[in-house]
Amino acid sequence: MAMTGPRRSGRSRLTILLLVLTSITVLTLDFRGVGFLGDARRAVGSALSPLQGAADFVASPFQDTWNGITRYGDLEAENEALRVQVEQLEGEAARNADVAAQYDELVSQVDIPWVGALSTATARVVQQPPSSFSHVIGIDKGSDAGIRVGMPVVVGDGAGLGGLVGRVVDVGDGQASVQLVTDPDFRVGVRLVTSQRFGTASGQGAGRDLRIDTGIEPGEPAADLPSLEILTTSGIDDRSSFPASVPVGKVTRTRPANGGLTLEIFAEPLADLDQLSFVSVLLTTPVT
Amino acid sequence: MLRAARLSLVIVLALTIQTTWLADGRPFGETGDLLLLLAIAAGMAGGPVRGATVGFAAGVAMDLVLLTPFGLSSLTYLAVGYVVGMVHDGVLRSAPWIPVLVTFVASALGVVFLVMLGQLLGQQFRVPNLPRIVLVTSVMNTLLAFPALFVARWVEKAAPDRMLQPSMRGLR
Repeated sequence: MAMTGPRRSGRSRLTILLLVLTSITVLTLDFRGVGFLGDARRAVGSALSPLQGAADFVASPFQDTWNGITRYGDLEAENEALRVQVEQLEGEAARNADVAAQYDELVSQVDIPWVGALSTATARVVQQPPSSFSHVIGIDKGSDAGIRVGMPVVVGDGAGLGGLVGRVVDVGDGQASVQLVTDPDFRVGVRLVTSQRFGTASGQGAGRDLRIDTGIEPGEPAADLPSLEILTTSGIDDRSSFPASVPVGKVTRTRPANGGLTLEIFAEPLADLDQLSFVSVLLTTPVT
Repeated sequence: MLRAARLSLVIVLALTIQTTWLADGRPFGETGDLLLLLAIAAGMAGGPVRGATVGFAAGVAMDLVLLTPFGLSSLTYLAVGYVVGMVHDGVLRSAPWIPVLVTFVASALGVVFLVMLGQLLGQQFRVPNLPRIVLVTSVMNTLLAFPALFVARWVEKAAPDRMLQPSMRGLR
């Protein structure tokens, strides 16, 4: 029997109302930290994993072919440019030796290699941020590899490249989620290597520099930052889950803030977050 | 039952594509939002209630792969699906550009609404590149508007006759 107009309309309103109430209820439960939502996310992550693997498998030949076709001209031009660049670089090698020495000195002050003293779990990045507003990646190791929520994640081994990638925010049996340093919710205590000033670095979104709040005033000597200033984790906060001296970024620019009372510093993350394939989780004891 | 099965299949496929091809490829540096497109297409194909229902289901699926507050995407997509259904029911549907325009505008408004709702819920959606995200998502969804509408109609066709939109009757 067909529904009458008013009955159908009433039922439609009820459906909408129920859906809205369900959404609000789930939101409330999430804010209260109800555990089953996290379990559901991990279960879906595990269930989707084979499908994602299949999708990647299907896409890879097409991607390779497409890149080969569409980028053939670019690759030729790129090769030519690289040849020229190599010749220039060979000529500049001597001049760069001085800069390299400065960098090495700086690196030695940072106590690099920083990973060497810590146990790590190397994991493959299996999931890029699925949304433009997400700054979380997925890795293929979890609690079975000793990974816990709060552990720092780095890339590189301290040989001069790489640095802090982020922090573990969710862990399953064979997978974990890592919040990137560029996440606007990300905070980490940092130290300016040369001036030895401390501050807090916060993410500003994908592809954007970190912002560091140091409390340095524009007129004071510490405001004269050297051309190559590196930030490392400070590790001084009792509540910090990061060990000290993990490289975070290099200063790119400064600007007055708070009406000119303090200096705002911006730094480019040392880890290349767009090219992450493997990362290392530092198996430290996370602060709870 | 068949409609629910079709919808589940479509959502799982869309979620897989969103978390693999779009997340890895990031055309123009952004991921787009296929699940939002599903809600919009459902609103156009099945009216406000179906738009809201599919939007809710698609949003829950998206919430399951994000670490943003659970319910943020479902509430957003639900609202978008409902509004699209209302608007689309109220205009002439003979012009082929209407789904294109509706998809473009609804995608833009959906992304903006998501950010506003996220801010209200304490999310740090500080996105100076919001205009680019809005533009890329809207353009991508618009390019996929007709395939998405085809899929949404395929899902709706599995519904019992009494539950179909008047415009959908006789299409199977």
